Amino acid sequence: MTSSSISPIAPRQNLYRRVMSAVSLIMLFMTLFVAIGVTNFVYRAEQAAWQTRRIEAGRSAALTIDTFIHEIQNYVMLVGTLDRQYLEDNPRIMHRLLEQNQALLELMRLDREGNIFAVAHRNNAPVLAHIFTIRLSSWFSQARAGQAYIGNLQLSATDEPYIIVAMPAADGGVVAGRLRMNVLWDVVSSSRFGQTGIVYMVDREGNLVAHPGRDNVLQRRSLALRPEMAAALAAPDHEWQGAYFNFEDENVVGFTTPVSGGNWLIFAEISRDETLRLTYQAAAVLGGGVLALGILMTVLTSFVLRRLVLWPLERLRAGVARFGLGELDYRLESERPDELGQLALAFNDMAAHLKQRQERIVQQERLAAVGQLSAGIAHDFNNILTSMLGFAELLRQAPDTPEAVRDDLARIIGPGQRAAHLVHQMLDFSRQSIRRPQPLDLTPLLKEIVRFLERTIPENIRLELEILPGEYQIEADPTQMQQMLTNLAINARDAMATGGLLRVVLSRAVFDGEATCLECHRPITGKWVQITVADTGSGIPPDVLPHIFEPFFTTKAAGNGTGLGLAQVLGIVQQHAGHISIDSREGGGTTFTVCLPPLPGPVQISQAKAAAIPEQQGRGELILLVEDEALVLEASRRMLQRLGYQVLTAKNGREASEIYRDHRDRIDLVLSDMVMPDMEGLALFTRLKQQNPDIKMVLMSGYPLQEKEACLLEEGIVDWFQKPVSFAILAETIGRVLSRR
Amino acid sequence: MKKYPYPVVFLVALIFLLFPACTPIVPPPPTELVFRNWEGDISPAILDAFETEYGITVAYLPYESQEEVVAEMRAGKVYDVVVLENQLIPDLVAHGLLAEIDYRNVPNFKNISANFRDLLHDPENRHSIPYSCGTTGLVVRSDLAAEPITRWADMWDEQYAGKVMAWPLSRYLLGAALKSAGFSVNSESPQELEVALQRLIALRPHLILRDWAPAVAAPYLVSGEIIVAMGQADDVVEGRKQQPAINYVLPEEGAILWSDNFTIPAASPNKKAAEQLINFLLRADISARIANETYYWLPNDAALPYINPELRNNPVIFPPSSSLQNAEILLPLSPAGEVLYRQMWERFLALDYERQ
Repeated sequence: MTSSSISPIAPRQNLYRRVMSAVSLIMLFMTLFVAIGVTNFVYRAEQAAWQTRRIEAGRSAALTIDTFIHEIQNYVMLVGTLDRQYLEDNPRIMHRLLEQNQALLELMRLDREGNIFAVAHRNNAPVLAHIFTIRLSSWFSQARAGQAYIGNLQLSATDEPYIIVAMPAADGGVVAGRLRMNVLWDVVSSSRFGQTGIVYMVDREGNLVAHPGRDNVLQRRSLALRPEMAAALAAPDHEWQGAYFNFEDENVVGFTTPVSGGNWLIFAEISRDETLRLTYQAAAVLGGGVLALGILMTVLTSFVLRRLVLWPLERLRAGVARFGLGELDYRLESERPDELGQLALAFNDMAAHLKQRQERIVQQERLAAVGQLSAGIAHDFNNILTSMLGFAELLRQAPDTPEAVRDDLARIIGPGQRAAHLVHQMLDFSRQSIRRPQPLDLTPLLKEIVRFLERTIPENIRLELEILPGEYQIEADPTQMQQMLTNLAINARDAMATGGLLRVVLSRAVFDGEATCLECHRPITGKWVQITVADTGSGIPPDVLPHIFEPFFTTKAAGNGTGLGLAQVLGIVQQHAGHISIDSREGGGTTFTVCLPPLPGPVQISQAKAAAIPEQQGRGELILLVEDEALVLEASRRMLQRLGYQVLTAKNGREASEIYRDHRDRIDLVLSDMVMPDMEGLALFTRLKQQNPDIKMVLMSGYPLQEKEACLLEEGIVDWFQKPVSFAILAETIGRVLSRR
Repeated sequence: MKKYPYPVVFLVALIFLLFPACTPIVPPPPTELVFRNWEGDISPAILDAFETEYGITVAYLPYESQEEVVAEMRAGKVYDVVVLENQLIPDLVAHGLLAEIDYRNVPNFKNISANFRDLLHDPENRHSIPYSCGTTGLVVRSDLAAEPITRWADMWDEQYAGKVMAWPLSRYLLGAALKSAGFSVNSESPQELEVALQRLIALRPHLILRDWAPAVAAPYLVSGEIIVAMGQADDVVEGRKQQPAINYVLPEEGAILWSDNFTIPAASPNKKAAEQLINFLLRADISARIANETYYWLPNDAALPYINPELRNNPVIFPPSSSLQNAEILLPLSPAGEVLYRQMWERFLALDYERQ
C-alpha cells in the first residue's frame, strides 16, 4: 500500500466540492431561470394591465369629452333654430339660454353677413365684438359654409382659456358660442390613473389643449417636436400607443385616441418607471427570495449529501484505508440497507478474502522457506549420510569384522537410515525429491499397503479397506503412494488413542466444485481417483486446521512426531497433480480425501520388485566415479569395489574428462555426482558425450532433477539415483545399467 | 506596432482634445434684427428699450409701400421682421416666404383680441400676428367745404378740384374709386375695375398724390391747401392740434379697413430674436405706447387700459361698430386679380409719364 492512497484529496478533486459545485450551479441556473421567467411573466402582466388602464382612461376621457362637445354642439344648434324676430323681440332669451349651460361663456346669433343680432355673455367682458373681422374669421366662414366649427384652444389676455364653437343656424346665418375650457380641463384632470398616469389633450399640431398641469397649457407647450410622436400626430383619426419622452422629458408609455372627430388627440400616459414598479419589485423579491431559496436548497442538499453519502463514504474510505494499512480484521459498518451498505459488505468480504489469502501466502511462503531450507541441507546431509552409511556398511560387511562390532555398526546404520528418511520426507514435502513416476494400478498397491499397516497399528483400531468397483490406474511413484498412506494412517492412529475405526476407501469420483482443495483452495472438478482415509478420532480443532500441513507443526508431544507427516502428504499430492481435502469435526473424526488424476485407459503395470543385496555382482568392469566430496568418493569407490567393479576416481569434472579421454576404451560406465563446484554433472556428460556418443552414465544427486535436466537424461544418461546411496540401490542400478549393454 | 504605441496615441489624442479648449471662445456676434415697417410707426425709443432688455439691436428700415418690400423679399432680400397687411400674406405663405411662428416664444399672443385671431388670410395665425389696424377714410376741412362731405364720391366733386389729396397706393386708390362707384374694394371684375380706373383717370388732374407718411396730409389740411384727403386717424389727431375744423369722415359707401401684421420671413437667420421682438412689441404697455404715438386702433386687448383715455374715447381712433357697417377690409387678390390690379395701376401711373 502506498501512502498516496490515504493522502488528503486536492480541493479540485474533492468529490464533495465537485458535487456541490455542480449542485450549486444547477440550483443557480434553475433559480435564475425561474426568477427570469416569473419576472418576465410579471412584466408582461403588468404591462398588459397598465396598457388596459391607459386605454380605459384614454377612451373614457375621450368619451366624456366627445359627449360634452356633442352636447354643446346640440345645444348651440338648438339655439340656431330659434327665430330671429323672436330673439330680437325677447333679448332676455339669449341670456337665459346662456345661463342654462354653464360651459358657455358667450352665445350669439349672426346673420349671413356676420352681423350679430342676438348676443349674451357672462359677467366678464365679452371677448367677441361686433366688428368687421367676424366676416374674416374662420369660425364664421366655416359655419356660414354649413360646417360645424370647433376652434383650437385660445387664451385670453386674462389667461382665460376658451374655445369657439360655431354652427350653421337654421336661417342660413351662424350661431356661435365661446366655450369655457375648464370643463375639459376638469375631465382630463380627473382622469388620473395609477400614481403618475395622466390624461391630456393636444391639437393636431401637438399643442396642449387640456392638461392637468394648467401652466403647461398656458405656456403653449407642445409635443410637436418629438420625433417619436410623429406617428401619433400623423394619424389623428386613429388610436396609437407607444413609448416616448413627453414634453417634460419623462420616459413614458402612452395611448392616444382621437376626440371630437380627430380635432384633438387624447393622451393617456404614465411614466415607464411606474409601469415597471411591480416588475422591479418582482425582480427584487424573486432575485432575493429565489437566491435565498437557492442557498437554502444548496445547504440542504449539502447536508443531505454529507449525511447520506459523503460521511458514510468518508467512513468507508477511512475503513478501507485501514484495510490498506493491513488491518484486515477491521470490519466496516454495514447495517445500512442501501448501496453503501452493500459496498461495505463487499469490502468486508474482500478484506476477509484478503486475510485468508494473506494467511495462505504467509503459509505458503513459510512452506516454501522450509522447502528451500530442506533442499539446501538435504544435499549436505545426503553426502554426509552417504559416506557415513557407506563406511558403516562396508565395515559391517567386512569378513574380518567381529560380531559384536557388527551389532554396533547396525546401531549406527539404523539411525543413519532414519536420518536419510527424514531428509527424504523433507524433500517430498518441498517437492524436491527424486520421483520415479510410473503407470500404477492402485488396487494391489493399496491392498499391500493396508496389509503392511495392519502390522503397524494397534489392535484396538480396526482397519477397513473398501475398494469400489472401477479402474484405478494412475501415474504415480509407488514409494510416495505408500509413504502418503502410511503418514495418513499414522495420523489417524494417533487421533484414536482409545481405539476406533480406520477406514480406507478407494473410489472413482466426479466432482463439480462441491469440494475444495485444501492446498490450492480451488474447487475440485472433473473425474478423479479418490482415496479416502477416515478415522473416528478426536477430530482436528478449527484453530489447528489451517496449520496441519505446515512442516514441523505438531500437536503431539515432543518426540512423538516430527511434524513432517502431513506436510509430506501434501507435497506428494501436489507432485502428482492431485488435490487433498479434509472434513473434520471436533470429536467426530477426520476424513482426508486425496484425489489423483486417473490415466485414460488400462496400461501395462510393472510390478515393483524388492531388490536383494548381491554379494558380488561385478565382473571387473571399469567404472569412472566422479565425486567432489572426498569421503563420499571414497565410500562409493569402496562400495563399487566391494561389488566387484574396478574403479577410476576423479574429484571434479575436468579431471574426469581427462581420465575418460585416456581410458575411454576401457571405461564401461561413468558414475557422477550431479552437483560439483567446477563442472556440473550434466556439463560433464555433454563433454564426455562428444568423445563417445554411446557413453553410459549414471548420475547421483542430493537434489531432484529439474525439468531440463530430465530431458537431457533421455540423450544418454541411463539412470540416476538419490543420495544417500545405499548398497542395495547402488548394486541394483549399476547392475541393471551394465547389463543393458 | 512601434515600441511605445500607446503613450504616443494617448499624447496625440490629448493634444487634439485640448486643442479646442485652448482656442478662445468667440462670443457670438451681436444679433441685429432688420425690421421693415411703415416709416415712423414704431419710435426709436421703443426699439432702444428692446435692445436694453434683450441686447438685440434693431435696424428699422421704413418702406414706402408694402408691395415694395414684398418684391424685395421675392428677390431674396433677407429681413427679420416685416409688417404686412392681411391681403399680402396668403401669397407669401404659399411661396414659403414666411416662417411659421413658434408661439412658445410669443406668449404675449394671448393679448391679441379674439376678434383678430384665426382669420381667413392666415388660419390659426401660423405666420402672422395682428399688430395694428385702422380705418382709411376722408380727412376734411369741414369749415372750407361747401356741403358736408360724407362719401368717397365727394372726391370727384368739382368744387374741390385741385384740393384733393391721396396716397399713391394702388389698393387704396383703386379701392376708393371702386367704393365711390358702389363696388367692393376687393372687386376683381375687369368691368368694375375699368370703371374705377376711368374715374381715377378723370380725377387725376385734380388730385394731389403724396407718399404715405405719418400724418402726411395734416399740414396740407391745416394750411387749407387741401380740403379733402384720403387719410387716417393720425392725420386727424395731428391736424386738429392746429386746426379744430379738421374732421374725419367714414364714407357712406364704406371705409377701407386695414390690418397690419408682424411676419417673419422664412429667410430670417434670427427667427428666435425676431419672435422675441414681436413678443416685446405685443406687451400691453409697449403696444399701448405705440398706439399712443400713432393713434392706431389696436387689436391688443391687454393694451387697452394703457391707452390715453383721450384716445381711447376718440371715435376717430376707435369707431363704433355701427359706423363700420359698409366698411370693407382689403382682402387678398387671386393671381388673376393681382395681374388685373397691376395693369390698372400701371395705366394710371402712365398718365403722369404722358403728361411729362
